[in-house]
Amino acid sequence: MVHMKILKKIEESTIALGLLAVTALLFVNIILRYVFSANTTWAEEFIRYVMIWITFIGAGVCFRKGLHVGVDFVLDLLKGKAKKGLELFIALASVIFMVLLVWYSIQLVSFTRQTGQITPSLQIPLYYIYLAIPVGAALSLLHLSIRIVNILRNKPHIEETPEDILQE
Amino acid sequence: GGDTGSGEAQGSSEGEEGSYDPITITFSHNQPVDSPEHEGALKFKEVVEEETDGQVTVELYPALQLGSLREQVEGTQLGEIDITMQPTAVVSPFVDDIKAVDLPYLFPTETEKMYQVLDSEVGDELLGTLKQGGFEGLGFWPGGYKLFTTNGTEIHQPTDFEGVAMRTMESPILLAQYEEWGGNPIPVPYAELYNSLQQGVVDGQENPLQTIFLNNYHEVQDTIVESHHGLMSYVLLTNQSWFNELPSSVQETIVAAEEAGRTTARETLAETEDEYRQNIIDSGVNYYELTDEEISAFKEASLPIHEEHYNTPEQQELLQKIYDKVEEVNNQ
Amino acid sequence: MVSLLLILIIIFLFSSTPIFVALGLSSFLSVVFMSDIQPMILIQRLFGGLDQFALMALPFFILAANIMDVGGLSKRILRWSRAMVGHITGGVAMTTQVSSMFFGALSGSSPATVIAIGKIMYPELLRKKYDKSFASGLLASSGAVSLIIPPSITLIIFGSVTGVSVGSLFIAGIGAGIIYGFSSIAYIYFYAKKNNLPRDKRASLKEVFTATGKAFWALLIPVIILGGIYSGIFTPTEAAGVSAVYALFVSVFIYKEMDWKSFYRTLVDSAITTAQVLVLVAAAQVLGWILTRGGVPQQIAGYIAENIDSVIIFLLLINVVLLVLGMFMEGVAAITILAPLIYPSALSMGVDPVHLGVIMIANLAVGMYTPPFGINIFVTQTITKLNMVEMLPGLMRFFVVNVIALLIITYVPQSSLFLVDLLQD
Ligand code: NA
Ligand code: NA
Repeated sequence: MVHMKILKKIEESTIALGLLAVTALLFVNIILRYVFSANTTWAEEFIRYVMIWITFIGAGVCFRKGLHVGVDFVLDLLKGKAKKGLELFIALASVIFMVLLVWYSIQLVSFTRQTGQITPSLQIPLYYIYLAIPVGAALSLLHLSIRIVNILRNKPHIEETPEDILQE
Repeated sequence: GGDTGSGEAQGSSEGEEGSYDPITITFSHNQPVDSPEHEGALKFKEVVEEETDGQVTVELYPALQLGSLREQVEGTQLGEIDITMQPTAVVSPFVDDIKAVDLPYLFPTETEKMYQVLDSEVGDELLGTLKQGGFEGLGFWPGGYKLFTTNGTEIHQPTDFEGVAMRTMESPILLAQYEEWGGNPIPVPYAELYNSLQQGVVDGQENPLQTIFLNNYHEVQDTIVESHHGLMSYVLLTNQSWFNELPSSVQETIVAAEEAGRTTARETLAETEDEYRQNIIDSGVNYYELTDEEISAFKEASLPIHEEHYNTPEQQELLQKIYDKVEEVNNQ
Repeated sequence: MVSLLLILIIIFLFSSTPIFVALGLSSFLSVVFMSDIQPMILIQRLFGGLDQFALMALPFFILAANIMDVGGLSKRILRWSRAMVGHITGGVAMTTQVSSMFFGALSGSSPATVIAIGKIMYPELLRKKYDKSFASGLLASSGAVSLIIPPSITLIIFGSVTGVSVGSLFIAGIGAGIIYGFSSIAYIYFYAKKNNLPRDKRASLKEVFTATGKAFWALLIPVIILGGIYSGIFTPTEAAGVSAVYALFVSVFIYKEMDWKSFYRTLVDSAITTAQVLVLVAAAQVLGWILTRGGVPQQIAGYIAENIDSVIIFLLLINVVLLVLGMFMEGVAAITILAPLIYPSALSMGVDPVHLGVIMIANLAVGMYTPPFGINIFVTQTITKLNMVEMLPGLMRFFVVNVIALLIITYVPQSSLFLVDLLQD
């Protein structure tokens, strides 16, 4: 489980730094515009793309923490084996979706790589951004497989307590 | 650049005359249903369906229904959309060479002559560059010349842009254009433009008459200049391998329908532009056209942009051909 | 394809599958098995759903709200508003609604409004003994007003696909937004009266002064944001970022309630909330695309155009269709697809184009929090941790109230148009 702790650190620091970077950029850009009449012209695009990376990495984190929003009332009504069964069904549905995402997003990544599409402002290959989808979906698969093992062993979701957070 | 499906052209067209399964063409564009562009698309649909006795049908998806501009181009590249009409500035991240169309003051400043250049062999050569991205370019559809609109500044010469924050599309050439002229270009997103003009986040912008009028930018700008500095030109794109695999009779029909549609779009645009220009003038903004001398000064100041941004050997060669054609047309 | 899609969505949603998995997986399965569309295009739509300017402000507003919360700004604003309105019947709930209307004036994003206001107001609503369901319904519905009150990206898009003046739409949006907001405020008053909810003792002048002094730096946030936007110093998105930076500055240097560790934690939490909300937006975009490709909105609009000839019925049908579609589609997507389809028939029936825009927006605003699918509901859940069934009674209360407002907006055109006539003649 040491590996998972390291992965957690990497995931969380990536999305945190991403958010910090875009906030700083937005702010600096305003100052550049007013003080130096020379704002960057790529800030808007950069912010959108970082936001997309944050979303797909963050989607994996949400699977780890059980934070994805659902209409949970049937799950809340069930107990015992039935509940366990439904939890497995949900996890498997999520696994299937993530497998489809990995499969087709890799196709799209290689297609855009091959056709050489670049982004309008930053002029970087677009597949750098599309890559967020297979990476995020693969991370989600990892967290989902741990989740499935935990369901089979009757372990609840790892909810973090304030103490856990303070220990970091 | 890739070469998605070239080669096996026209193999399927050898069968008996007219014997092919029904075909449905997905045609997408960005403009509203009462726009000249949509009129042209309707004409295209009409011609295709009439000529093929309904064996080929065209489904139109106007007004961004199938996604953003970039996504429609990519959808066409993927073969999910068969035909799309998109601004050259949006296509250039897919095929760099097409950006020539967005160079300032490259084309004649009279509409008919400008069309003449675009419809000539050199225009075909430009369209041919789209093959690098897996597209078949069928023709240049009109959006009109772009105009400068500003608040608080009258633009007569490039240096008048000094200190003026101009909104442009997210395109390196358009940004470079205002930098070269001394302005401060800012790529504000289209959806935010009206507010940004109203609140003074940017001082001005460039767009064709119909975009200015339909979005009411003249409500929030005090000066509008007919500058003829650049084209809002769309290319009608198809997926290349899809097009190549069509029966040759259908290909011919599409080419003919494209020409009919393009002509309709150009005629309708001319009418609506006259109407919109009058409405804008009646709204009381300061409206004028640059004089020939002022245009010459702008042209002079724009040449370095052509050099610098259309710079590979192939591009330089193509640029020279365009210069020659423009001169030929201008001297007629 | 569309029928399989809808059946799968219902099965998955009912079995408590995360909503973004339910929408996304149903979309992929129906496209893979029931059409010859390339599934790769759905990946593009998933990406395209996020690659939108309209969403850019969202992470910044989430970050700003979290910093205000952790850094002690929110609690000072609360104590101040308690001193100001705590003695009024339903005061806190009304404050929530009014704050959403003000916030709506700077943000075009409904989920961002729910987060920014909800994070601050929800604990206070509970403290005042509002039940959780009522409070959740209030948050989800009050955030939707930002769609109607200008600046509104949805109205701008209506203007650009139909050619109607954005300026006029904005002015009409003010009237409609006020009617929408005041329907809730009136209801809050009766609700608080009927349930005899506790009121605070009226604060003394000295207490008001003290609370104002302590909250001074926090209270500058709306001044900076509104002033910054309306003087043209920055765009609404930039205002969101500036408010986050300013809140950080105040938390660290003035209130001294934030250190590096809690700042890092705030960044992580904000990024996670961003992901939680945005995956839903992305999946909704995929669904909307398939519905369009399957011709569903086009068929509905075509049916209306061909079969209806009474304006009253026509408007009623528009309301019903938009409410139902709004249950499944997001505002911008719905306007993009429906406005061009409905607009010509509305004009031929003599409906004022500006009025039509306002009606459409007000409907979609209600759809933002109508079950089973409403971004505002899911965003509210991230704050209140209630499930949909627990939220339902509260949502329904405000649904009924806001539908009454909707009927006024629809059948009394002057309710939104009088300002336009007043200001533009
Ligand atoms: Na708003
Ligand atoms: Na809804």
